[in-house]
Amino acid sequence: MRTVLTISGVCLCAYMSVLLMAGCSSASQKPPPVHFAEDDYAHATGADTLPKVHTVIIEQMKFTPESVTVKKGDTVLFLNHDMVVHDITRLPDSAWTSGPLPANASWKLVATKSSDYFCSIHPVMKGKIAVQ
Amino acid sequence: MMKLYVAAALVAAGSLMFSTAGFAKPASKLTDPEIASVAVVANQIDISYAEIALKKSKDADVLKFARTMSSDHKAIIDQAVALVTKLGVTPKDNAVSKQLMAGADKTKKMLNSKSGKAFNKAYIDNEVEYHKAVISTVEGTLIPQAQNAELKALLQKVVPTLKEHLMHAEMVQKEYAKK
Repeated sequence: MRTVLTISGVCLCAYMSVLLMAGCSSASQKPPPVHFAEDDYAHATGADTLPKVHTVIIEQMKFTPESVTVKKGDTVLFLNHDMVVHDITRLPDSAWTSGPLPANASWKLVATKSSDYFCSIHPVMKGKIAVQ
Repeated sequence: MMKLYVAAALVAAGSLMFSTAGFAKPASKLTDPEIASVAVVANQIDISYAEIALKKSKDADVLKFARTMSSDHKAIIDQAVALVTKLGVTPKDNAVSKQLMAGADKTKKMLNSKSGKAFNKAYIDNEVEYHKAVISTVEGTLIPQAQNAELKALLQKVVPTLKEHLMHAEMVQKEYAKK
């Protein structure tokens, strides 16, 4: 009798485990909240440590988009699609500058802190990098 | 002091007259070779004004603006020459390009006759008016009359550069008025 009970107990436990696993399985199929999904993905792949590249196109005498929001360590890639030379220079102190960027050339900046910038050759042209 | 203001007003009016006189609307439609000629001449004229400024001015903002004008208008001419070469079009002199050159000769004489602050003011005032006149001609005459799609597209691509130059010139003009 005790053996039967034990076996029943084992079976019950196994049954419960299957139920729990099934429960987990069905729970994982539901779309989890976005931040959980991002965390899981990041931990699984190390994607939270991989910097992203944000592209700013220089065209028609404008920086597009005019403002980019990035994470610290992300790269901002500037592509000059205009026919004239531009540069990308930090405002207001010129702490960093790309130097002259000819037509069809590109320049990369690793963002460490938020900065306003402009084209010192065409001072009407302005942009912003916001580091979160 | 009053005399200075009158003199400055005359200079401004004079440069405006030269600019608008140089951009009289043609009686008949321009052909693509004529439009190409007007485009190249208009850019060459601004390079020649910049060369005078680079020789005569000592003001950092004026010099920086002049360097940008020289570099940008050379880049535009390079694009125009590359396009007409590709299309097999030979730029052709016409009434508008001749008027432009005649107006530019007078303006260059006026600029060469000045020095110091009077020169800087005359140069930047003329740049404001010249860019206004060029934008008006490119948008109102050259783009609508261009037949070749690539020529029309190049002219359209140049407009934002000219408009930025106008805003830059107005910025320098405003700052210079405070000096």
